[in-house]
Amino acid sequence: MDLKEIQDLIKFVAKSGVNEVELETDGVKIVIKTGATKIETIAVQAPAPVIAAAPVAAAPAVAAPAQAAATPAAAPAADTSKYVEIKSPMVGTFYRRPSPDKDLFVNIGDDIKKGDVVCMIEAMKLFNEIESEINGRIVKVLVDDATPVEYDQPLFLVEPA
Amino acid sequence: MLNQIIGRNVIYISKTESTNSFVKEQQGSLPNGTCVFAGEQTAGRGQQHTRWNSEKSKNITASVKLEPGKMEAEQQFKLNMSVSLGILDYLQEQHGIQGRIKWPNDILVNGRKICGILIENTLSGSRVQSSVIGFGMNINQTDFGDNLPNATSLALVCGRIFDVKEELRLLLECLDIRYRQLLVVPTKVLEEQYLRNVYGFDTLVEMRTEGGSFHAKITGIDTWGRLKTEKPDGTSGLYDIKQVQFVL
Repeated sequence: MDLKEIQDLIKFVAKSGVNEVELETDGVKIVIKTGATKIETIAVQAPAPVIAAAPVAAAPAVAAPAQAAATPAAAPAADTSKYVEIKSPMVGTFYRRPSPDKDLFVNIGDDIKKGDVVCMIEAMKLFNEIESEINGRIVKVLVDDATPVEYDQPLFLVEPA
Repeated sequence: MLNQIIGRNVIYISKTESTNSFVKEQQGSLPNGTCVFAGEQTAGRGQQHTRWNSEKSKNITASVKLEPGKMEAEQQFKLNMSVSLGILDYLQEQHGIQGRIKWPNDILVNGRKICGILIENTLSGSRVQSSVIGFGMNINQTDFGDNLPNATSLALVCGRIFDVKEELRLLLECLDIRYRQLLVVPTKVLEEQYLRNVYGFDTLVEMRTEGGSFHAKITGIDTWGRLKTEKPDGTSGLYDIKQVQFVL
């Protein structure tokens, strides 16, 4: 879905008189809520290769009070500042276990130390174990197991120890 | 050989689950460039979910531990190119055999697979800390059963039996030369040499994607090793390993 389509969609919803529209396509979920004069779009990036930056840019009308009503994914915005993201150093496929019959490398709530392996990324048949560079606790896993990831895409949220 | 890195130490073990796993477990105690050779692998691994089957003591099943030093994550495909080229050098220089690379890293002779490569890296942040290069080169096996109709071996191609340990020594020498080159040669040069030996480079071949099969030629690879293709009508494609297969 491109910028133009999203803009058209916002116009369509604004004119239609409905209060809320949810649309999921190509791994991008868009929620458009209309208030008295406010239109809001929330882009939740599902594990898909589509970059969800465009919908955000298409929504300059987002107002602070409206944001509080956003989906849970966007809710802890104020808190996340203390968290550190572990990002993907490459394009590839994200795996949470060394092989299908093995345990997860890490789970939410796990304490991790610098040097612990947190995931594996397969890039064109090269298998890369990714070590944590910090000590801390896994707060959130941002990507589903066995799905594609882009360079620099956040994989985990970690609360530094 | 002076300054040799790969194969400076070679450890022979009679049997292990997988030489890559063995090297990963022993990593801390193995010097850079150590090769571990196993007469038998009881759970040899191909790609992540596939098995690598090899008859006892007939083939090369080995892994090399490397510490590439300053290698960034985005350069890791160079390792793959370097190992693939080293194996082609070995086939060509030692046996006069022209091999080809089936992207990304299967080695074919006369359209049949003779060697598979499995590379496992450990990264901290964006830097490759260590790398385990595993390879299975078919040497003396002549019967691959019905499961592997598309496999071949040195013995099948040359019509005689070889000394497996001696072949390992020769192969390691070729890998070593390419590895030391990799550390100093510009990526572009390595990429050109790799591409020239890739099946389907600048030649129309049949490929299959989710949308069906078609003919296209390979025009290059991107930084991450993804395949760039072009159809006869000029439309281009970019594929991850999971998105495309060759129809051989």
